[in-house]
Formats: sequence, C-alpha cells, structure tokens
Amino acid sequence: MKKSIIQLTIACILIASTIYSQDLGTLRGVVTDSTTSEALAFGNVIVLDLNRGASTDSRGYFLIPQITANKELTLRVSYVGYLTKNIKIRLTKGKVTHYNIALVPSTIQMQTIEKIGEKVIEKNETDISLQRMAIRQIEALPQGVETDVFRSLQYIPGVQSTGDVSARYFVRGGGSNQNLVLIDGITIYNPFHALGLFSVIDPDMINNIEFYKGGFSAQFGGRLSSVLKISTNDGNKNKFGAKASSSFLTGKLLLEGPIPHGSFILTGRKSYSSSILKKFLNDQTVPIDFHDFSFKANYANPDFIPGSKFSFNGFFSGDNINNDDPFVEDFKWSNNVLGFKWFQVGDSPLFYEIGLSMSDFKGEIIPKLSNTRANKNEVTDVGINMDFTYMFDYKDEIGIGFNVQQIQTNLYIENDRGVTTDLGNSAANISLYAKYKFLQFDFIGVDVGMRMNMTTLSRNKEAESFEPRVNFTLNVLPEFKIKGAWGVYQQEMTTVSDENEVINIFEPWIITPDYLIPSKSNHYILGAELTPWKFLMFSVEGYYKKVEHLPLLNDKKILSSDPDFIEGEGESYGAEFLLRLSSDFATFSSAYTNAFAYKVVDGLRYYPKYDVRHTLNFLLELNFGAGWSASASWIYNSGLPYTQVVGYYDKYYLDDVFLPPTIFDPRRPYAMLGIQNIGRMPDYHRLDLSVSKKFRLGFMNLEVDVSAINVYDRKNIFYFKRDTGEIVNMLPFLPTATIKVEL
Amino acid sequence: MKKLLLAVPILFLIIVSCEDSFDPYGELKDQYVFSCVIRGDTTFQTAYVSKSYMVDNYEPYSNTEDPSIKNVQIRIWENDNVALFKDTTVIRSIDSKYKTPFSFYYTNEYQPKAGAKIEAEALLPTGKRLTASTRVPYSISFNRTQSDTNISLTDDYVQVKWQTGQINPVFIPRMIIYYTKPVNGVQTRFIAVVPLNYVEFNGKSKPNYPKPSGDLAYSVDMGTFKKAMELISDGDSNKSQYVIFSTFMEVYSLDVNLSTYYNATARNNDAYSVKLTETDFSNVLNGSGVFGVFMRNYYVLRMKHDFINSFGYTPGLSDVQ
Repeated sequence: MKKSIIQLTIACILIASTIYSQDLGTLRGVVTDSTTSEALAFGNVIVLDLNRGASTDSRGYFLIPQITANKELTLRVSYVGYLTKNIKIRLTKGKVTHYNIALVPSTIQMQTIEKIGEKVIEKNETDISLQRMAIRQIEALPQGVETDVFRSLQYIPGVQSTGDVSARYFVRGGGSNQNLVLIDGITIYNPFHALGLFSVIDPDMINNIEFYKGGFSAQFGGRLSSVLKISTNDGNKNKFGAKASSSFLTGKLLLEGPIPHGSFILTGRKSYSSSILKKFLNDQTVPIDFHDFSFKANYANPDFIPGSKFSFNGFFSGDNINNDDPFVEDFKWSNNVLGFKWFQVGDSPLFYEIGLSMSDFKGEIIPKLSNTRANKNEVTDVGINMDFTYMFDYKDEIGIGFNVQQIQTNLYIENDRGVTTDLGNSAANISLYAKYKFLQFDFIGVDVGMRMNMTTLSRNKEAESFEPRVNFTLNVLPEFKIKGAWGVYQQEMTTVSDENEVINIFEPWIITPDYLIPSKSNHYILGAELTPWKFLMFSVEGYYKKVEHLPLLNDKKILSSDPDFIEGEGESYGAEFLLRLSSDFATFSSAYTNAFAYKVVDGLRYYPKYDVRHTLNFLLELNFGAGWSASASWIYNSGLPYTQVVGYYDKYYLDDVFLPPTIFDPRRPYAMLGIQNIGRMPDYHRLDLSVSKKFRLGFMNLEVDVSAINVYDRKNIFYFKRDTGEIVNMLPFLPTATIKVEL
Repeated sequence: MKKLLLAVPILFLIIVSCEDSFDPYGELKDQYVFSCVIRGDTTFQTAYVSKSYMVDNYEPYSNTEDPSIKNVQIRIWENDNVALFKDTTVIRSIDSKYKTPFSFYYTNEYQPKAGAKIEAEALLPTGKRLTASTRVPYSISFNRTQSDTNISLTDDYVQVKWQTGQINPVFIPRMIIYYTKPVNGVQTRFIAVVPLNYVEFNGKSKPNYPKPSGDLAYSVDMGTFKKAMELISDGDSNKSQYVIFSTFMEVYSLDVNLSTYYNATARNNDAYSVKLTETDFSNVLNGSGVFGVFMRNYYVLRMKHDFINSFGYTPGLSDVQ
C-alpha cells in the first residue's frame, strides 16, 4: 500500500516536471513577523510588474509559478497591522527561488481585523464556507470572562449554541460531536474545560484558525459537520520573551525564545478561582480546578536538511472536580496530545509534510459513596500522516495524502446491578486522499477530491469506502463570485451524549458500535460574494445537509439486552447572509441566518435542541489609535426549542423499600412531556461591550481589557426545571477584566 | 434615509424592552397511574390509582386537588387464584399538600409465591382498563456454613452470605439490631441499622448504607458494628434500660420491573449535569406507574450476653451457647 502511494506521488512529480517551463521560474517564500519570526498566515503577496499574486498559507508560505526569470521584479507583501513591504526579486530560470520576507509591525495600531483571511489576491480560491481568523481578531471581540475561541465562533453565521453558558457549538444543524477540532493537525476529543463552559485552547498559543462550516475538502475526514483547524505559534526566534495575564478565572504564563536553528514556546494556564462560575451555573458552587499546558519546539537547519522544518509539540489539559464530601462524586478528565512534524520544501514546487501524532483522552466519574454510577472513558488515537502538495507552473495544484489512525476506546459503565461493562473497541482507519485544484484560469477555481477509506474503524460492512468532494469558485465579475461545494462525509466515532442534558461533565467517545452503520452526511452548498468596493463585502450562502445513520443514545433502554444506540436521521438547511464594512478606523459586520434543522427517530421528526430559526448579530469594532480599541456586539436568536410539560402525575418513588406499606405516601409530581422540542423559548438577545488599552510601562507592555456581557441584563431563559418550577436564566450582566503583561 | 436611521434604534429599543412571557405547558394529557408494589413477606398488599393534573403556575407542588381515583376494581391473578382489593383511606401527614385523606386500595389476603407469574388489572369507573404483569422473584437461601450465626466479643467482622437461582438478581440488603427502650414508661421496640461503614466528614460521622446490587454477601467489620451498638444510646447515660434482642440480616430481592423502576427513580444523575428529563419506566399498559414484587428474606444473628453487656445494655434473649 505504502509503495503504491509513493509511486503515485513520484509519478505526479515526474509528469509535472516534464511540463515545467524552462523560460520561467517559480517564486516561493515565507512571510514572518520581523520581531518574532512568527509566520504571518493568509497575508497577501503580489508581483507588481505582472499583477500576479498569492496568499500565504497557515504556515506563512506562498508559491507563485510562471514568473519571468532573470529579470528584476518588485514584490509587494502586505499584511494588516504591518508595514507593507516592496522588495526587489530576481528568479532563476526553471528553478524555484525562495525568499524569506519579514514584515515590520506597524507602529500606529491600524485596524487589525478586517482583511485578515480574505485572500484578496487569489480570486479563484475555493473557499466557500471557510472562515479564516487571526488570534487578534478573536481578542478584539467582547470577552466573557476571558478570550475563548469556541465562543468567538458563535458570531459566525451558521454557528449556533444552546445558550451563552456553554462553549459547545453546533454548525449548520449538526451535533456538537460532529465538529472536528485539530491542533496542529491532531484531534482533540474533548476540548472543553469546566463542564463545557470554556474551551481548553489557550488563545496565547494560537497563530491562526481556519474554520470550515461545511464542504471541506478531501484532506479532512472523520466528522460530519465542521473542521476547526488551529495552527499554533512557533515562538519568538529572535529574543526571549514572557507574557503573563490574569482574569477572574485563570492565571496564564507564556515563555518563548530562540534555540539553535529554531525556537520554542511554552504556555500554561491554571484556574485559581471558581467563584465566577456561579454566574454560569445557577449560583451552584462547583469545586472545579483546571489547567492546560502546551509546548512547541522548532528546528530548521539548512545545513542539516535544506528546506526542512521539524517541530515537536504537546498539549495537555486537565480538569478535576474534587468534593470533600465522600457522598458526592468526583470527576476528572484530561487531554494529552503529542505531535511531531517534518515539513519540507525542495527545489521543485513540492511541499510535503510527514507527521506522527498521539491524542489521548481520559474521563472518569468516581462515584465514591454517592448513588452515581461509575463511568470511565479512554480514547487513544495514534496516527501517521503524509501530505504532499505539488503546484504546477500553470498554477494548478495536486494534493495527495495518506493517513493511518489506530484508535482504541474504552467506556466502562456500571449497570443497574453494579456490574461494570466495557463498550470499548479498537480499530484502524487507513485512508488515502487525492485532490486536484484547478486554478489556472482566474475566472474559475475547482477543487475535486476523493477520500478513500481502505480500512474503516467500524466493522459494519456498509461503512463508506469513498468520500467524493467538489468545491468551486466562479468569478462572474471581478466584484462578484459564485461558489459551491458538494461532498460526502463519514463519521465512525460518536459520543455517548444525552440530548436532554443542557450541561454535562464530559461526553464519552466510542467507535460507533458494529451493529450500526457509520453515520454519513451529504453537504450541498451554494453561495455568492459581492465586493463592489474595497470597504464593502456582502456574501450569501445556502446549504442543505442530510445525515443518515445518525447514532443516538437509546433513551428507551430498559433491559441490559436493549441496544445502547439507535439509528436516526438528520436534515438541515438554511441561508446565511453576511455584510461587512471596513475602514482603517472601524469595522462593522452584520450576519443573519435563517436555518432549519430536524432529526428523525423511529419515524418521529423533531427539532434538535440547537435548532434556531433566526439569528442576527451586529458587530462593531473601533480602533481609536494610541492603543485604544473598543467593540460592541449585539446578538439576537429566535427561541430555542424545548419540550412542553403536558401535565403532572404523582409518581411513586421507592425512596425506602424498608418502610412499612401503611405509612407510605412517597409521591412527588412527575412532569409528563409532550412532543419533543415542539415548544419555543422566548427570543434571546444580548449586548456586549468591550474596551481595551495597550500601553508601555517601563520595560513592560501592558494591555488592559474591560468587557461587559449582557449590558442591559436581559433575562434570557436557559431552561425550566420541571421538578421544582424554577426558571434558570443564562448569563446576567457580567463585567469582567483581563490584564496582560509582556516582557 | 433619516426615517431608516431613526427606525433602527427604535426597533432595537422595542426588542430590548420587551419582556417575553414563557409558558412551559402544553395541553393537559390525560394519563392514569397504577402503582402496586407487592411484598412477599405479608398478605397485606396495597395499590394506588390516580390521574394526571395540570398546574396554573410554574410550581408543580401547587396542585392541592387530590388526583386519586376512587371506585376502581383492582384484581391480582396468580394462576387461577384472584385477590380483590378494597378501597380505604388514611389520614395524611400534616405537611401534605392535599387536605383530604389518602385514598388507596388494599387486600390482606394475598401473599405471592416465589417464581409465580402474576397479573394485575385495574378497571377504572370510565371503563378504561390498566393491566400489568410480572414474575415474583425467587426466595434466597442463606448460606449458613459461610455466614456467622452469632456475634461475640472476639469477632473481627460480621458476615452473611446467601444464594439464589434467579438470573440477574437485584438485592437491597439491610442489617438491623432490634432493641427496646422505655418511652413514657412503656418498653418500646426500635431498630438500629448497621451500615457498611461510617465515614468521617467535616468532623461528623456519616453512615454509608449499601446500594442495590447483585452482591451475594454483606459484611461489616466489628468496629462499625460496635459503633452502631454505641449509637443506640448515644447521649444517654442510663444504658441498662436498653434491652437488646438480636440482629437481623434483611435482604430484599426485587423483580425485574421493580429493580428497573427503582434504578430509574432512586438512582440519580451526577451532581452537576443538568438534564431536562427524568428517566421514566412503566410496565403498566394503558397508563403509567409500576407493578412489581419484592421478597423479604431474613437471617437472624444472635448476640452473646458478654458482647451486649460490654456496652452496658441488657440482653433480651437467652445467651448463645
């Protein structure tokens, strides 16, 4: 198998070489920050003399083929927040000429967010449903306690939450377990701290984010709905530095600096107070304690292997809820991730990356002397991946990848009789993908790909072997694009999650049991983008997503012989509108989504808990200069679905079977439920404000951010406690502050 | 344009100032509930029939109208034998939300046979019939060779073992000490429960009782047993007025329906998850509730006089040889 892949790759390269023009050269480069040497992702590079350009990728790399050789040309490199740089270049005929370009940060704080990720140069980039974000963009948003990547996603049209209490997100009608979260290409299985209130990803470790709401191309697999690809910082290659920050919840520390032929970065975060969590958890005190820690080291020595870059990274997070009371259970869960990558560029326009990874999740409910049942989940995911990208001189790209993933899951559950059973499994997924990006004409870009599962995690014979994907962009006019995507996606892992839980500790992962066919979705997406002026962008996207063989927890399971899961179906469709106005001083964006989502189980169709018909949000970001910036956001959602109470009856509770029968009346009202999720909560809306100031104090750079969540203290209903009649609201008016110190 | 600019903030203010009402209720669904838990150790059995109701506010306990249904014909069949239930009432506790007496049905002529299949039917005045069936769990037999027969000063622990032919059994065990003490001049009988152990927390000692399980043994160390003995007269210096009789090992075995119902109602979620539904289980056709059986089995452990005397108590039975 390996042999055939290598042969295929070599064949592609040879074919490409034969048609490589000898009169022209290829320009390759990497764009970095001059002060830190961090890669600047999604920046713009243009050869002014030829009016041809490219955008940098998530590693800061760019490649422009067919550039006149042996002639001095001017290359303009621009990136928002940095001084635009014009450099003279001269290419060698028939060769790849490499330039390292360092941009100097602008001394005047310009508007920092409006153009990041827009890839204005590559007009035919196949990027429907793709949102690119730099960390500064996320930091500019009003913060709930502290900057959180997952919460920031909820400003994107098509991304939904079940309330501001949880950081879990739902994309285009898909469940939260259908979202793939990758840190430097490695899957994080439970990326949440503190009962799902915050993400485990410390923003300080992030360089850039690519978020695919659907229609993602063939290099991604294993999930039905979305991909969140997070690329981490490399660390400062020029000097040692340290950052410390503190919020009401955590203290953080970052250390970075150069090492011979490379750099390192260490980040750590630790909760020190859980009192702010009472605002999220209906005044309940949860003795939660969490931490996360990441490191990355890079090595790029041209004397060792020219064009190579090696990186070794790790990410570790842990949460503990330890109760002193022996009759209240304890909880702990953790993620441990290790990865090694070899990225290589050569003398030909070929990039390749070879990676080894290990992702491990452990979650445990320790009942101690309580009535709670024991539960322990372990996931071990070990993988090898190889990705090759070759760019032809006529700008088309071919991508080939090979991925081997060995996954072992264990889920130990205590049954009604106190007997522990293991629902775990172990299997390997070997997959190969190939995609061809047709980009040679500026008016059209097409990405055609196929993901082939040579072995599947599921032993069910109906597991899908082929996952075809197509993605296109058509430039009808320079200011007007039509985009579309179609694809088949398969997911062979699922969580044991109860749809009726609005807050849970963690969601155990298992390989879909063999008696179920792995779930499969089809995405159909069509959109248009209008940019009549540089400062105005308007886009619309419509989508239809059909999910088959959706595994759902069998809430009617009574006997141990009953299946744990049953099969359902999902369907969702909607339209998303985005308007963005930007200037050097301000950016205003508004997004509206009209969406519909359904699930069908046992022939009964119902709205999932995250089905929101109308979502509207406004976001205003202002940059006043001199380190001052501010933002305001207003979010409106029509009501979330809920299941109505259709009466009560006095239920007999076997509180104490030893009581004599004549004195018993152990009955309490039991709420009978109507058709699932047929009711709708009142509308949700909230205004958030944020002001931040950066300044220098002696040898330190300081940044103070003050945010206020739910400024007019809207009583947004979170849920109705049927057993007590209490209405529990979401976040009240919540002022927060963060201070950062940088050395 | 000016109108549009004016309309936006006005619209915003309208939305912001609106306080939406929230009605968590749908239309009342008529539901009938039949609860009948048959005890294997007595001929006295009870049943209760009620109907669903709605409240007009968010408070589920606000209903004060007794939902019980009267004039229901209840029968239990065991092969060809039938037991008829009669209706009666008892006074409720003072803090009950219902001000009328508690209505229920009873018979004192039925005791189930181990292993028998039994069926219940409740014919409502409306003609609606609620039915259910279950199988009586088998009795257990105590393993006398591996169980202690008496308790003495020299023991390290007290242990009782049992066995059953039932598949996937669920047991609720309880070890109790029978004793009497004078109340208003009259020797009155009490029980003291011996837990699995005592757990120290916040300077207090909390008993840890066993959970329902399929375990075929119950064992407590002598330290725990002695502490249970001491707590009988906690704070009372007149120890000799306490008369100690014997220790009973009670083991309740639940049928499959009752154990499922028990697990669905009595075993809770973890302390922090918020779940909007409660697991429901019913084996009653055309309604809700439960029809189940549990068998009470017991085993007597005598206590030696020197053991009882060591606490200052008075033995109530003759000494064990």
